[in-house]
Amino acid sequence: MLLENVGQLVFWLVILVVTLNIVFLFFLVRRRIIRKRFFQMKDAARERYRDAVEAFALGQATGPHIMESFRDARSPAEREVLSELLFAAATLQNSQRISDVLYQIGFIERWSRQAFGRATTKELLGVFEGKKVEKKTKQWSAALRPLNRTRIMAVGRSQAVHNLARLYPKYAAVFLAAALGDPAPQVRRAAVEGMGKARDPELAPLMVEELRLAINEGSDVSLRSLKAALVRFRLEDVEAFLPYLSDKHPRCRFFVVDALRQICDKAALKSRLTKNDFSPALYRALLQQCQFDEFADVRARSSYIVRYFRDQNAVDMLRNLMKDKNEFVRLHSVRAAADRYYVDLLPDVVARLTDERWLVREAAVQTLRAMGSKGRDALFQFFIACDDKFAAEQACDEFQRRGVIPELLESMAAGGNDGLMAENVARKIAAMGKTSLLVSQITSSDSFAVQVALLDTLAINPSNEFVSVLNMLSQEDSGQIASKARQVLSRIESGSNLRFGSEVKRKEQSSGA
Amino acid sequence: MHSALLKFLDYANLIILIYFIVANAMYTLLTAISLYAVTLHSRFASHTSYDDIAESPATPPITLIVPAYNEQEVIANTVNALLKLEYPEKEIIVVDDGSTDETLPRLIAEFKLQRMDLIYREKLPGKAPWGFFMNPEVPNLLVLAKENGGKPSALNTGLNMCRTPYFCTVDADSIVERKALLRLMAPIMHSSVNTIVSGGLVRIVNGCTVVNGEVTDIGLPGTWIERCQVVEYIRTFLFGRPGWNFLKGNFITSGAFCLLHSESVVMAGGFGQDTVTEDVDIIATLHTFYEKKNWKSQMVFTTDPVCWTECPKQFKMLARQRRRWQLGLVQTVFKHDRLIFNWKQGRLGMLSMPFHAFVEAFGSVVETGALFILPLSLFVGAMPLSLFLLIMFLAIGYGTLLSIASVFLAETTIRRYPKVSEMFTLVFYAFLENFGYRQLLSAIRAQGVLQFLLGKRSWEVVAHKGAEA
Repeated sequence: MLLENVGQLVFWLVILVVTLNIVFLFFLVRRRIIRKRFFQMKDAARERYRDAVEAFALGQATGPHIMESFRDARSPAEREVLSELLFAAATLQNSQRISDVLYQIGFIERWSRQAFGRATTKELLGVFEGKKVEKKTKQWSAALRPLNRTRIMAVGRSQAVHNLARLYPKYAAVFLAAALGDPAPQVRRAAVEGMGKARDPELAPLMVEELRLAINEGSDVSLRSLKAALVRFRLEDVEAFLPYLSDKHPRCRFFVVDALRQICDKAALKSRLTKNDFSPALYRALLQQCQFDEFADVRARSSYIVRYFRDQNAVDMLRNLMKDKNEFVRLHSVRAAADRYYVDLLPDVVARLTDERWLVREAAVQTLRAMGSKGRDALFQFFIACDDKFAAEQACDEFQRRGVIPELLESMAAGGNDGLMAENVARKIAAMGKTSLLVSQITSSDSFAVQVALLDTLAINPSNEFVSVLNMLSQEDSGQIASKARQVLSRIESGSNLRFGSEVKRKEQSSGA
Repeated sequence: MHSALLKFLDYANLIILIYFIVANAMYTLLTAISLYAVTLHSRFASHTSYDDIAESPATPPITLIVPAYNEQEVIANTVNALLKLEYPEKEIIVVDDGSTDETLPRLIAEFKLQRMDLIYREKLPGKAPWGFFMNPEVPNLLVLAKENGGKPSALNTGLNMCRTPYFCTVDADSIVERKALLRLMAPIMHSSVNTIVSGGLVRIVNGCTVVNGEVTDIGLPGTWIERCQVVEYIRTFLFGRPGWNFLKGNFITSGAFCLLHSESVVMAGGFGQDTVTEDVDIIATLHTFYEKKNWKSQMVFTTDPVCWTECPKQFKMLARQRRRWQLGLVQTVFKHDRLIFNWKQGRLGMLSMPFHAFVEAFGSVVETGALFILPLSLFVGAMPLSLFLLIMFLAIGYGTLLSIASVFLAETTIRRYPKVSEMFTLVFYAFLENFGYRQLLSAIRAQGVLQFLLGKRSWEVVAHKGAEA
């Protein structure tokens, strides 16, 4: 009986699997056909609307007939193409006009209903009619929250909020503020990203509130998403963050200061910042408050903002922070001083070359390099005289990585005081045994003077690699470099580096190293 | 004697039947979940702007670590392609693991590298490099040359030089799509939980057109063995991994392309050198480490970051590759056996690990055994025909449904095969691979298990020529 049933079971299972395979195949073909048609419709719609949208964006076509032609877009493909074209044509000048059109042809109402429902939409759309609409989060029914949090329920709302975020900032702000109350993190993330793009100072408190929630783990929107949105604000808007520099939560203060730092970094790429680019209140807050903040990360990050003040107060603050007990504060303040303006801080940076933390030592080397010729000379002098193995290694690492060695060789070839110092640096590198790059320069350099200087320098502490290069060069039949190589080789073999060593000492004394 | 044989066959058949019922039930569950998760992810991804991540200063920098051993044919193209990847701040560390061919000279010549004596701070065990090669004009490329010590040792050496909060392991023969790093970083940027691993899709490049290290035209390969592997990769990456990702039971990510949190890997002790699949091992190590520390973290797998890899064209090479994978999986399962039925690990411990141990690791032995035991049982009368047919259906027929479902899933993602004829070819092979190919692979995988039992620990080398060759 059971076995008979098993036979039947197999039969029905086979039928089921074959049927399901056919169903999958049917859906595969159907999906291909639907997509093909959809994209054909999109192409056709793009052809139809392109010129009209372009003319409208340039302000050449206005009036009811344009609205009528846009209102023709009824299918999803047509609506998608029209909104894509309109958004793509938006500029600072026509953004409001484009948003008004999207409102008039009903797109915004559709997206808003999808994101917030009918009742809230009615209220929010008032912004297009010149009404004062409060920027507040929409409250969702607690009973439906678990359902509305599911990804499948959120995908449409997230798409709608994404579209609303692309509107003219003043319009977008009311929708985005409402979306911040959504139960689904994907929708709130879309709202936060949109807020960053809208850069409306009135939205800053909402964003910082969300940040506070995220820090306290009461929000499932990531801190990185929030920070990415915050750093989209412009330097002119940062006043909005001022109250949060004294927030009671240290991590909130840290994120705000760090966002400010990155806003300043972005602004500094476009123009040279000075203290005049900052409001007096922010200037004071950073110097008087952040500098002494109990949270080390706030002190560390504030040094990057202060560097843009470029005044004596900034110099004093950076000097103070370079002596901080916390290594990260020292690290960031040293990095912040990487500017020719802060050459007064040179002795303080040099002092950090022997910091107990290698990251600080590395930052100090890089900062000195960024301080121009004075910084470079200070670094070379420190390096030549340095007894600290770790500090010397750090400097040597930087010389190799940042291409200082070719500069050094050029100076050596040129001679003079610079040449002498360069030779002493090269000699110190050779004495440390870090000769690979110098050895490779013997054969790659075009300058005979450089080659000779290198051969003499590397003979102090000849590595196997150097000796094999010497052997290779000396086997060449003719040429000055071959004879020099033979000379150095014989000196090494006879162990008569003594005379050469005394010559080095004399040169070191004369260079004042 | 005869009754003893019958008794043995009874037990064996029961085990086989239970195995196929459990395995198929799990595969069905994973398929259903993946259909939901992958489709939904594609819809979210369609309106996610990766440019925001590319432009944001808040995006964490990444180091790409490329272990290379005898990769002279592909290495220059791979590094050139990696340098062109869209990502705001990235560094590439190539670790030449004692290649005996021209891998290092070709890198030196292509990028005009110069030998330097840089500082090497050892945080993880791994042979220290004997040479560092850089060109100050390409400051984000560093080549390390070390004695041969195996892939995990090369990764640890690379990680010792890594300065970024995240690093991405990339195989030297892989092609990473231009925006793949941004897509891989997206779940990390968007997650409120500390994300320590982000894995992406690995697809087969055979049959595709590759120009300057970029896949320009997607196509199917010509031979049956490659086409069957295409279906297999789709099945693995589109319904295996997204399914486990949804269930929060990620246990396997592909080392060919995987983003990891540097500090976590260092704190967990780095890549273990006692298995031949360091990519599987590191995931289990991280799970164990975070559980012991009682720290919250997550590992994610998404289907839109794509990395293309070359699959073996010859059966001999395929066999070597699969034996190694199986050996590595069994080694990892034994090494991390405390994770199996570990309730503290949640669904990973109670569902994913037992599944990987009993179905993925040792299932091949049952499947291969079934190929002999079932006909024998039928022959000696230990099993009625109807039961034989039921098990054969579960072993073969049901697989066709799972394979065709995975082709359907591939259709819902953004990188499907463009030609309709290729779609039908894929469906045909999805059906066909269940008759012979899968059984053959089970036998090879069973060999891998046998190698483990015999104490084999070494790595079988799979030769490849590079996608552009």
